[in-house]
Amino acid sequence: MIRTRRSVHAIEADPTDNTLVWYSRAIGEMKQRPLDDPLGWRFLGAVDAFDRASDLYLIAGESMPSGPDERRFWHQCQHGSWFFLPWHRMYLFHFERIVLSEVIRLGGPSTWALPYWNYSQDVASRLLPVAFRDPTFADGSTNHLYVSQRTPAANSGGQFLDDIDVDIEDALRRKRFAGTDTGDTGFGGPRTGFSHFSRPFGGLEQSPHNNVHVQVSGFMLDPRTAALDPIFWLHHANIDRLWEAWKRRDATHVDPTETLWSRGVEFWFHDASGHRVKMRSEEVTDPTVAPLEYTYDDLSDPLPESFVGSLDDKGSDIVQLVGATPEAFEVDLDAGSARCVVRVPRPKADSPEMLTVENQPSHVYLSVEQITCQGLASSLDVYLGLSPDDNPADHSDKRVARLALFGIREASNPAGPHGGSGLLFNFEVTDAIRRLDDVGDEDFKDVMVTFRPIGDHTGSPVHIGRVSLYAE
Amino acid sequence: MIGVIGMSPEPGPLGRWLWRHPEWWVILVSLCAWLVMIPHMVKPAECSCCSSPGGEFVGWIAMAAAMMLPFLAETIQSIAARSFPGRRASGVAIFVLGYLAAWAAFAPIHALWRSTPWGYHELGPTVAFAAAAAWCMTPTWRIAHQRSHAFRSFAATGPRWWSDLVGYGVRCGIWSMVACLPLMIGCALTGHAAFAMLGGLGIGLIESRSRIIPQRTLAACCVVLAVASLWL
Repeated sequence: MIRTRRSVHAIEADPTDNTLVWYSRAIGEMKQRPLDDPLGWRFLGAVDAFDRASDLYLIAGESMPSGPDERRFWHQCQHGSWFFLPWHRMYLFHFERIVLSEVIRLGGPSTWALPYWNYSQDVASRLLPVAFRDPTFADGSTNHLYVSQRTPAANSGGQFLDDIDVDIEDALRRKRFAGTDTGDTGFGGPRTGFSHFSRPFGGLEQSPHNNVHVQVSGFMLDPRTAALDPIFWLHHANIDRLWEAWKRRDATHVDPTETLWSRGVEFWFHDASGHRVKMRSEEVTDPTVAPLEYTYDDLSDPLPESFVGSLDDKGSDIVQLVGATPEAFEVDLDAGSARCVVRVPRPKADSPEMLTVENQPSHVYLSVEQITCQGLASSLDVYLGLSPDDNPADHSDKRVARLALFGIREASNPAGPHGGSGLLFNFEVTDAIRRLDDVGDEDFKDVMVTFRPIGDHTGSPVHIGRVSLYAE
Repeated sequence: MIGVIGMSPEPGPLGRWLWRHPEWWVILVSLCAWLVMIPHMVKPAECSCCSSPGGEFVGWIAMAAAMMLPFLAETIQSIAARSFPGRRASGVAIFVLGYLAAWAAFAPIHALWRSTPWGYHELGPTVAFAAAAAWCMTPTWRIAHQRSHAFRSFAATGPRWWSDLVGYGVRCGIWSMVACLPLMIGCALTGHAAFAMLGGLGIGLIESRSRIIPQRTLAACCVVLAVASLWL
C-alpha cells in the first residue's frame, strides 16, 4: 500500500484529523524506552548524532549500546555529501515505520504517515505548526510535540524565518545532483564517501535545510540533538519532498548513476521490529516502490512559472581558483559585522590568463572555508561590495547568501570525526560579481566581503580560514 | 563593474585527467620508493644498507614515502583545487615535503636505536606490532587518525602560502606518525621484510576504505604481523 505524506497545514486545517495527536502519543511511548533500545526516541535521535554531554535526558548509570553497535548505528547522518538526501530518506522511512508501529499498537490508524512542513509556501506557512507550540493539549494531556528549547518566537507563534531562510530557488534550479568541493556543490551535495560534515553543503542542504535548523534553534541547532525535536522529522520530510519535486520539474534533473553513490556505501538502521537492516542509495531513488512505498500529496513545481528551467550548465568540471583572502580572520559576533578583502590577481597581458572571450567564466563561486567557533553561533549573512561605511542591514540587495552554521560545534572539535576541519560553504555569485565596481590596484582587483552575524550567539568569535573566489 | 576574471584556457582530454588527478606524480614517487624498497623486502636479513645508520635513515624515509603517500590522494586533490592554476603542483609539492619532513624527523631516532645493542633484538618487531595492536584500540589513536586527514585552509599567495602549506604537511605528518608509528617501527625492525611492508600497506588500505574505522580488525591484523615476525 502506498501511504501519502500530507502537509501539516492541511492536517491542522481539518479538525477531525488526528495524525498529529497520534504522532505525539507515539513519541510519548518511545520516550519511555531506554537509551539502548533501537526503537526508543533517544536511540533514534542518536542515529543522527549523539553527545552525552549535551543529553538533557541523561540518566545516571543507564546502559549504552555496545561499542560496535554505537559505531554502526549512531552518528551516521550524512552532511556535506551527495548521500545527504538518500541517507535522510532511509532514516525517515525507518522512523516512520517505527512510529506507525507504535500508533497501531496504541489503537491508531494503520494509514498513519509522517506529515511534512512546507515553510516555503507563503509567509503564514513559516510559522511553527500550531500543534507544536503548546506543552499540553486541550484535554490537559502532555503534548510531546512541544519542545521548550526552541527560539521563543517559534513557540509563541511569531515569525522567525526570513525569506532567505526558506529560499528554495537556488537549490531547485541547480542542474546537477552531484557537485564539487570548490564550484557548484550540486543539488544534492558534493561527491564523497561516507561523510559526517567537513565538506561543503549541497544546494538543498544549505537552503532551506540548514537555515530552518538554526532558526528553529534549541535542539535543532545542533545535529547531536536535532532529531529530539519532533519538528525535525516534518522538516526533513519536506526536504525529501523537494528532492522529488526537483526531479519532476525538469527531465534533466536526475539522480547520480555512479556506482559509488548507488551501491558504494551501505547504511545501517533498525526496522520496526528492531531487526538490523542495511540500505543503499539505489533502493531509495523512487519512494513509490518497495521497500519505501510512499508519496506526497503535493509534488508540483514549487517555483513560479517565471522560474521554469534551470541554470545554465557548461558541463565543465574545471573549476579554477581566481582570488582569495591573504590570511585567516575572525568575526566578532558582538561587533555587528566583519569585513575581508578577496584579492583577485589581474591577468597579465602575456599570461595564459589573458582575457579572451573563451576564457570568461560562466559561473563564479564564493567559498567560505574552515569556519569554526568554540561557542554558540547561528548564521552569518554575506554581502559583496559594501564599503566600510555601509551598514549591512541597510543593503539587503547586496546580500548574496546566508550561512547557517548548523553543526559548527561538532565540526570545530579537534577531537571530532573530522579533526576540527570546520564548516565549508560554496555559493554562486556570478551576477553579484558582475555588478561590482572595479576597485583595487594595478595587480589586484579587490572584492570586499562583509559578514553579519544573525541570531543567537555566545561571546566566542567565529574563525574563518579563507574566503575564495572560484570560476568555472 | 569588476569586469572579467582571467581564467586559464580549458585543457584537453589529458590535461583534464591530470587536473582531476593532481596526485598522479605523488603516487609515482611512492611507486619509486617501493622499487627502492624491493631489495630490502626480498632479503631483509642480508640487506647491507640497513646495517649502517645512513642506510637506516634513508630506508626509513623511503618506507614512509612508499607506504604513506598513497593515502594522501584526497588531501592532495583538495590542496590542488584550492590553489591558483599555476601553483597547483608546487603547492602539492610543498605540502608533501612538509609531510615527509615530519616523518624524516624520526629517522635519526630510529637510526640511533638501531645502533644500540638492542637495536636488532629478535623480539623487537613482535613487540612493536603488539604495541601497534594495543595502540589502535585507544581513543587517542582514533583522534590522531582523524586529525591526520583534517582539512586546513591555507593562503593562496605570498609568504604565508609557503608557511601554511609546510605547516599543513607537517601537521598531517605528525598526526599520521602518532597514529602509525608503532606499526612503521615494526616494519622497519623486520628489515623492511615483504610480509611486514605489504601487511602494513594492507592495514592502511583497510583503514582508508572503511566506512567506520574498524579498530578491532586493524588490531587483529597487527597481532597477525606480530606473530608472523616471530618466524623471521
